[in-house]
Amino acid sequence: MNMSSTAPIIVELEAWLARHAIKFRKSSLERLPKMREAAAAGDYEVIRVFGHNLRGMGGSYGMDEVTSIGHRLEEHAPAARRADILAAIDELESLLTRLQVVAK
Amino acid sequence: MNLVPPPPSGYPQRMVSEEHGPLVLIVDDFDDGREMLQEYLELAGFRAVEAADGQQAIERTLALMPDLILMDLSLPVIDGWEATRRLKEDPRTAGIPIIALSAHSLPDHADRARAAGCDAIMTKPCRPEAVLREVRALLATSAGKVGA
Repeated sequence: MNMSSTAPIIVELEAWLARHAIKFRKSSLERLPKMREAAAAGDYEVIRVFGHNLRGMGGSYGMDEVTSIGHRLEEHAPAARRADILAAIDELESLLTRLQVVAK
Repeated sequence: MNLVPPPPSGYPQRMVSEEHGPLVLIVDDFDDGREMLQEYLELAGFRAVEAADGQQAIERTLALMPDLILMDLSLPVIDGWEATRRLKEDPRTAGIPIIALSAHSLPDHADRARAAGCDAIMTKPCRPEAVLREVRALLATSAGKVGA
């Protein structure tokens, strides 16, 4: 993956896997507002589970950086580190927005 | 027990029809993970069914008697460790191989999974090809035990 700050990030996958990766990217982006709300409300368990799932799935789609952010969310949530959580969510949003899944 | 399909070469290789392929129960509370594995296993010639929590996993196992279970560990209602323990204690389901498939990477989690009765443990993220290899290996071992 090209991780420079503005360049698109291209992930090339087999066609069947690309379909799932596109859905995963979309659903993860759609969940971010709820994660920000959860952080504001102090509902850290929701964030921990979200991070856990990101960690489990990102690498399966060749999105190792998503797995890494998921890991950080999973660690920050039980410690109620709100600022770190919000920073990780911002980073995830930027990453997912730039990410383009391409079928081989 | 049905024939175990051969190892893949890139794309999953189908050997048996979906009607007769081994039945795999995929237990995961995360839809994306379940659906991705289900499609991959079906492309490889398996039949696959899903459960979203540990209670559903137990109910579906008793109803369908799958050939193998892929069990996430962090699950709502009943977690994967407890669901595995109950299935392994039940003589009707004790012989069904269970692969723990979890994003937990701490040794303690793996130890607990083994203690619960999991036959193999895989740490997510893992590519579907790796899961398929483990499924095939465990089914082959299981078939060998049955035939012995």
